[in-house]
Amino acid sequence: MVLKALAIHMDKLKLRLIKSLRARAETAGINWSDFSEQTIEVVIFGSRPIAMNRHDSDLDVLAVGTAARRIKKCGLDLIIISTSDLGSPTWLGSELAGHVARYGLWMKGQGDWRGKVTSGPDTWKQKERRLISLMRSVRNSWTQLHPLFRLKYRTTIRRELQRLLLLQRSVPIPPTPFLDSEWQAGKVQYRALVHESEFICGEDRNFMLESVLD
Amino acid sequence: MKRKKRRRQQVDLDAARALRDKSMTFSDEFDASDPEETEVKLDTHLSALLDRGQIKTKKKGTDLYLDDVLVDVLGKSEDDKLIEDARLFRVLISSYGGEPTDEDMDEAYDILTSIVEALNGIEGIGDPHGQAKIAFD
Repeated sequence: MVLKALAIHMDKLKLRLIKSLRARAETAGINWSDFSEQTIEVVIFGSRPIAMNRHDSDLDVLAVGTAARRIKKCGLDLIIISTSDLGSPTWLGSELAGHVARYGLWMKGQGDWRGKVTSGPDTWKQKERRLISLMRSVRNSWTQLHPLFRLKYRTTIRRELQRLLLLQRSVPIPPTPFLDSEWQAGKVQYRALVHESEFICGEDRNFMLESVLD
Repeated sequence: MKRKKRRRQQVDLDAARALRDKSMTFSDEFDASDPEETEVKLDTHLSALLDRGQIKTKKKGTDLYLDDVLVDVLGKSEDDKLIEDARLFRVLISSYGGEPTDEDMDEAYDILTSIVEALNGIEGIGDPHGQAKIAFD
């Protein structure tokens, strides 16, 4: 009984999402029948499948087609990857592949590649590099940044630290609103995130603890 | 009602000029090999415009992006091509789901160039070098 109710709920959710995708795609100038013909997989990911979206959240979509492309317009964020990239170690080891494989909702296709997704040191080391680069850039410009942007980078760095720690534990990255809810619920502490991140040292650590977390 | 609509579509020339000059500087500094530094540089330029009162925002506690500024300054609608391009620019240089690729950064640079061209094409905006001189004075 519960399973049947869940299946009905999922069918309704899928129907709503596919309608939303079609409307946004057509507004964005994408020919729907061409899109349907040229894609073998369509997956909706991000905050909408788990109903944690804001009303103005984009619809995040991954499609597998003949040629890679990125379209961001009319509330649609569409990433098309090519069938040849689908089996590549770069894709299978990426943060996005891990996220989609775990949290994506398949509208079309089976997602056979899901079982091949890996989360090795390459993925989190790339995240670590990005964080170091981001922290240094922010540190160098901190005094010139308007409070709005300081707030933006506080949030960005905190989310990236959360993602990094998850990647290091081979946990797929959940949608951003989920990370924020963990933070708001006090399940994640900024200082603990910094202390757990051994790669943040010296001036970077002081900056994170004294300026970013003030 | 009609008057209200017309006013919303007006270009704030002073703000557009300041934004054009900053966008040109940013375009020179754009480093495709360093997406994080590039993103922070853009925000530093937007910060300078905000601090000098050359652009205004009603945003509080939410992120401000180049496309938001363009909407305010140029009075364009959210679905205008330039605004959509600027939104794509934002996505390309940030690294949601992984590091931006070289192609992402190249595409972002092309979009930035088209934004600068669009700002330069605004009637009455003037010559960038002339404006730079005024800014120095």
